[in-house]
Amino acid sequence: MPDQPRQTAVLVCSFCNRECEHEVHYAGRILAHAKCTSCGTVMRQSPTTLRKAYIKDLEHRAATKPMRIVRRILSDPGYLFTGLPKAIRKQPKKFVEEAKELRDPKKHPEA
Amino acid sequence: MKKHRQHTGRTAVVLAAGSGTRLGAGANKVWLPLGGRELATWSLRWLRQTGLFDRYVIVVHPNEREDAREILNRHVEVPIDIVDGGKSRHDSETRALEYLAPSIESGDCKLVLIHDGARPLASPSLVRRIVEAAESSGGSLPYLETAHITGSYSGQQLVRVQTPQVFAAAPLLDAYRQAAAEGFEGSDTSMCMERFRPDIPVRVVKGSAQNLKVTYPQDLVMAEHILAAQGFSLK
Repeated sequence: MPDQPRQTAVLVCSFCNRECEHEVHYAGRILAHAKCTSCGTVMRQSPTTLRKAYIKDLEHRAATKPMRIVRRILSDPGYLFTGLPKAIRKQPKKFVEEAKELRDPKKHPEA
Repeated sequence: MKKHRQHTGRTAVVLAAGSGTRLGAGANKVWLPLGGRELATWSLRWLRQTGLFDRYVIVVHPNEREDAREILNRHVEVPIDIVDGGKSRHDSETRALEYLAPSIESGDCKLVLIHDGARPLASPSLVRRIVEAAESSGGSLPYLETAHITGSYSGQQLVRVQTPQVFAAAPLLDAYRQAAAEGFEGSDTSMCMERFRPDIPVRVVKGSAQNLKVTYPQDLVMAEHILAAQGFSLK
């Protein structure tokens, strides 16, 4: 699901060339880094590029959010009473997780 | 009130059963997020935007059927038939064509487009050009020239074939039935057509470098950048 900060999928590692599971981490809608579970190689966007892309995307997300909510409610009116309050409650945690992905891994090796 | 869809006789098939999951290796990349929605749903968005198709089919891994239905309900505004995929790409194509067989045999479905769900950036204009070419010849596919060739192929012009590939429905079904009878497995749609229905001329159309296939993690980053640069809207 797109709102999960970490996903797994089978991709080809450009280092070991094996088709295997990768852990894919997102900052919002932007891919932050992907780790090959076979050889441990991490493909990471530079922190500067990632931050720029994230901010641009955040603007786009904010601008299109009202329209997306309306569309969702029109297709599923129950979302207004069940899904939407739940989604609002999850926002602070979601933004904290996104901010963690934006940290420079050299300064924050645990990231 | 739902808008009545015009009958065009064209069906779009998106293959999303995933090679990795078929091998039992893990989660399917076509359901990874890309620009806020699952990767495979972008193809359906561009196909729908062309207005050329009256039917959409997606081939998924049997274990992913329910998740796929939920995702498609959320992101794709047209009814989509879900078909269980097979052990290989060829097998998944065969299953999709057998699913469509009644409408192909009745003449209701005249043209079938087959697209790889891991190529989220096949633009509406590329799809239109391929369909137009297939309607005049019987088959069409996009290609890209390969820049540097060395070794035993040196001096020859090699091309990289992409999807979507479009073929007249009846010969396509016939080719896949003959392939099943002979136990043949092609790596893409055109290979099967070339082998069993060489009488159908296939026109090649210049593809697009942006129509990339997500294979490596960096392909996801590239696809994200292309989508964002075009305002999440391909022409």
